Amino acid sequence: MFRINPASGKAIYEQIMDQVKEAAWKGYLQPGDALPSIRKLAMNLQVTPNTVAKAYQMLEKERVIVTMRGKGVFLSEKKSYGIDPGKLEDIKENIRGQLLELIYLEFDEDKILALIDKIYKELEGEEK
Amino acid sequence: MKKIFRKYGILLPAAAIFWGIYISNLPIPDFTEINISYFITDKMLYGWRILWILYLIAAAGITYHLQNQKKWEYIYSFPMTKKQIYRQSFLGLYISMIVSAVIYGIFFYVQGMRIFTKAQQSSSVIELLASTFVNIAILFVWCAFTQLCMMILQYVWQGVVVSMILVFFGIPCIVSNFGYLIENVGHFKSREIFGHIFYGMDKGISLVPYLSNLCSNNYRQESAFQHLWTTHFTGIAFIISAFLLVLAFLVFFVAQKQFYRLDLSGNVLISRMKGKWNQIIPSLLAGIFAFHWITNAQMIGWNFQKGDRLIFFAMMFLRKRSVGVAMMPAWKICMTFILSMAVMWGIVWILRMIRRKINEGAS
Amino acid sequence: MEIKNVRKSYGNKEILHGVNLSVEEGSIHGLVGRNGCGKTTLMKCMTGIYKQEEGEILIGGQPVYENPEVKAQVGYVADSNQYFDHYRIDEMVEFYRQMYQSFDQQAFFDYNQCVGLEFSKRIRELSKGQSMALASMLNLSIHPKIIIMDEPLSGLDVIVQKQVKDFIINEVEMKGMSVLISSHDLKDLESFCDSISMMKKGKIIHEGTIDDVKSDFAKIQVVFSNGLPNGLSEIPGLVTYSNLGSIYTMILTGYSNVIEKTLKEMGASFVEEIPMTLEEIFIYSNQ
Repeated sequence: MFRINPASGKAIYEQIMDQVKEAAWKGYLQPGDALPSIRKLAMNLQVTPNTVAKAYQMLEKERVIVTMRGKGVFLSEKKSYGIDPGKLEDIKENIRGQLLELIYLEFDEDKILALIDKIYKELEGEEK
Repeated sequence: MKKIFRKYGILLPAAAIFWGIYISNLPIPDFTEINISYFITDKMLYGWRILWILYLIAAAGITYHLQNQKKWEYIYSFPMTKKQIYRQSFLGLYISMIVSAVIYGIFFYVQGMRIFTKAQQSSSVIELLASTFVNIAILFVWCAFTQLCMMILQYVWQGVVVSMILVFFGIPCIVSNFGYLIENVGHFKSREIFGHIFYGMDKGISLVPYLSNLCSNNYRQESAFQHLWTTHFTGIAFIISAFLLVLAFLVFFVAQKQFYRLDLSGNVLISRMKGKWNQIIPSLLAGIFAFHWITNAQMIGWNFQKGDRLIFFAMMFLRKRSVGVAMMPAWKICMTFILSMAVMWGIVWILRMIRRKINEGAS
Repeated sequence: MEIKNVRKSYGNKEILHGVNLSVEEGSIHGLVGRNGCGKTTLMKCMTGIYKQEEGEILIGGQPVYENPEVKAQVGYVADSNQYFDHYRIDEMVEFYRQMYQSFDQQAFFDYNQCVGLEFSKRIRELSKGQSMALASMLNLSIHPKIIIMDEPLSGLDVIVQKQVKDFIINEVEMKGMSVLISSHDLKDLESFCDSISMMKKGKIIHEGTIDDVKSDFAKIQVVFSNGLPNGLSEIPGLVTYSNLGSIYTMILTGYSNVIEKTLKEMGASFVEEIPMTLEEIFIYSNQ
């Protein structure tokens, strides 16, 4: 289910985090579903356990997943999704940067919104 | 739990029973033919030796397993102390040896009674019993020294060779010379006692021809038709048996302690003895035996006089026979002694060097 | 497990020259090194087979040597057949059951459901891979506090390898078992171990989490469009370099902005740090 792209510039643990969130958003993972254990995922993805541990740690901080001692790691209930303001700021910064690039490429607002819409539909379309 | 060693345990009692039945079925001939009766009784005594040889083989096998570095060293990763490993491995063998000794002792005693009855020797129960005990005690001493050799020497085959030498030559030599020494220093008729106990003589019937050389020819003729055992000697025989059993126990104990010092990754020199002792003890022993054998030829017929003290000490220690005609001059004895010591020292040194070179080459 | 300053010799030859190593509870620690560097000797000291001459080996704070209470909680999978050849598998199970109080027969049966060894077979009839798998299964069934494994996956086919790794992971996650595992397959260890010790000639040369160990080295790709510049071999920490055309690959023991600047000053038009695999680090450490 999870794939790692080693060539991508993005850190592996971030890729993992993204994939978990994507799976949750698309419904592949329902709240209460068990995620693979840190070591099992590490073996499957052929990455170090520390990397997976870091991803899970961050996800837990963002309250996307929850660890139950002795039982494992589970996707948390939608209600407990908190919004980490710091994370939101990072995303805003990111979007700002990307928008500037698009503006530089002479995209106007409509074109930008159309692009965003297209990408969103692509993500949705991947959901069967 | 040490099921792997259980097969050794069955060996001894089986042999005891088998040989016991064999000797029980041997015919007892007329006592006019002394040679044949001697032969029969020899067979009775072989039984003890057979038990000892089986013990030697079993102990060697077990020791090999405990020390084999390549295949078996992982047993030391199990949750047992070395003490427990040793006990578990050898206990079965010890118990089966005790059982076998008792079993064979019974056969020995019964057959002995049969021989005496037919030979019309009114030997009493106690005397035969004493002889049986002495034999059992000697067997345990042999086994104890075997165990010690196994534990002290680095290689199992060394243990086998050295214990065979000890049993067949070493211990008899030491005991007979000890007897001579006591007699000539303490003026105590030890030879006679030892002679009776270890080589009771009656019309050529011997119950423990262990130290056949202990008695002088004169003595042999004197006791030719005497009663085999007097109560005087019987009592001492029991005491000496008890002493031998204590000795055996001590030696077993020392062997056990030596095992605790086992270091599997230890170096592979000739023996586990430390450094210089590796040179001294083998040289000393080999030297003494060499001198013994060399002088023995010349010493046949030497007639001991109580006055010749200094020379007697040397000769007493090292001679096998007591009565003879020819004799060696004192200087010759000393030269032979020094030479044998020096030569043996050299040989041991060379052997150790060779072994060291081989091991350095291999590692 | 704590190993402090351990020295061990065979006769006059010192094999371990002051080894320090620690395995945290519930973690998987890899031990890598070339053949003959002393790994197996170290492992035999850890399991109480050898006694070290100097230093301490503590498991749970207690020394191991001649200590049955500690050894009862230590599993050991040796690098070659370690069992009595003529025993059958069921006899071996019984042996373990008597030897180790915590032996879990059901766990062994469960493991064997996956691996499928016949109980009536004798150890000498098994292939090397099968007897290694058996050793792993038996020792894991003890539920040890720590299991010490000397190349347990060598000789196993791919399927059984995965199974054994799963067994180990289960035991670590469910029961908090610690693992010390040595292997020559570094790629494998990377995704399996939390931390690593690299051993060379009886000493530990790198130690820590895999990221820590990786940070000891850096692999840089540089483009020198004007050919090899002078003074490249003078760069501090340079282990080796090679090139394909004008693309140079350099291995350094440390990388910083200073070095990046220096390279750019030498005429590099492109400088990029590339992640190294554990295998590469191992190779360069052993040069």
